[in-house]
Amino acid sequence: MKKLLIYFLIVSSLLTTGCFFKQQSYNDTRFLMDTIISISTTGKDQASLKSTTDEAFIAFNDVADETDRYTSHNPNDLYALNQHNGQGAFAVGDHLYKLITMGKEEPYSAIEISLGPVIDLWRAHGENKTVPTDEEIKTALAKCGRDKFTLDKTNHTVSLASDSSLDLGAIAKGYAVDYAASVITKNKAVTSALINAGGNIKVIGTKEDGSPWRIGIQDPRNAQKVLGVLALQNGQAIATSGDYQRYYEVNGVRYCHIIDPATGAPARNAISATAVSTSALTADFFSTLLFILPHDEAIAVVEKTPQLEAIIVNPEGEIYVSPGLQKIFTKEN
Amino acid sequence: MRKNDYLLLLFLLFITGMGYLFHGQRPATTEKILVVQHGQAIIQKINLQNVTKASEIKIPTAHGQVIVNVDSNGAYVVSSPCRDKLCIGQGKITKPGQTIVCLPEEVLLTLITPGKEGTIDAIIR
Repeated sequence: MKKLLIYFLIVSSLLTTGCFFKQQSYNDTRFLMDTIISISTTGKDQASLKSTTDEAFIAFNDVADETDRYTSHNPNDLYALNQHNGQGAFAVGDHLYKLITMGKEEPYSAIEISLGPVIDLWRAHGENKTVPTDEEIKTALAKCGRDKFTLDKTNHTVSLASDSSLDLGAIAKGYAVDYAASVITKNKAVTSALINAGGNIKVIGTKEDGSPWRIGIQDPRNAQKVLGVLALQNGQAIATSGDYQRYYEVNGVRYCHIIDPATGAPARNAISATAVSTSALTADFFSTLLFILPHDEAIAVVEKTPQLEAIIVNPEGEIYVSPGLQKIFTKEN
Repeated sequence: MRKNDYLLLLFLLFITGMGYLFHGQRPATTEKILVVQHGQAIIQKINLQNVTKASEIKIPTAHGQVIVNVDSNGAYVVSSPCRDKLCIGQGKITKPGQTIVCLPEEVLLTLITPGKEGTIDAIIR
């Protein structure tokens, strides 16, 4: 009986203090891909959470380095490819090859990964707070298009026309989130995780209390408010493209960083577009696409694409919530 | 087991149950903590309940310093050497989960609360 009581005392003490079954949590935040990446994990072993998070950041960093077109990181990265334009086939890294293949083969002309020259033009004007002339835009656009680059599947090479350059801003971060998530899910010691890359989020597992992940969507015209809150489940990813994070103004007109390939100018059909899918890459791609397309066309894309849901805010401030999100989206007053 | 053993067992079960009850009914805290991060390093964690008078904190960065005003309700960026000053335009953060980001200077301000019940897990921007 004494033994029984001793065991009981130990177990009840542990339960009362919440130590025995308490989940551990670990959070790390770093600056990568020109944004803030935060990874939060929960599980039973703090050391394992830390090592897994570190591995996920290494994975994220691999993609970041390979897809960075402004700085050289390795001999097969995007910076090196763009420098090699007009000089024939160039061997690229695996991540880069996958993303360029996607950019070449995806069916929507509103997403164009060869817009490097136009993006550079707007970037240069943005530094001086000026706006490019129509002639400058036309000249830059002439260097863009899917005919400006070809891929060789056998040798994993890309050939880029002279004066052309690729930019993977519309898809690279989503791909990196998925890649980091794949590292986390391999480790069974992690029971849940949230990867937050600013405009791209993926959730893994369920929270300790079993409730859904609550993701706020920023109000595009009030940084202090959220439009509403989405309740996400295990494996869901969400991405938002907006005109409020990176932009500059000239004479009261806002020029955001998302360029419409049809005009070579910043897209103006939406002020915020959020896409929800099971893949962060898909969510990233569609959030940019839905931001660029005219409102009606964007809604049509959402309706015809399986496993894609969206929230789109048009320039008048009207909010479209796709049918699949209406039950899990709580609008903020 | 004797009668007293059963009584002791019941008593211990009662104490354990009360412990759970107390733990579960603890009121959600309204405490707000400002986490100041530069690059990968957390520079400061400030419990806003302890801020009795608005004050400025200066964060040294690669191009100068980011100055942040902190009071008991929240925080905002007063000045920054960055080009576009978008961090200043983000205004004041007052609710847990809100952040202010200055990407060029790699400064991140986040308001968190120790009690997370009912709050947002993340905000997508």
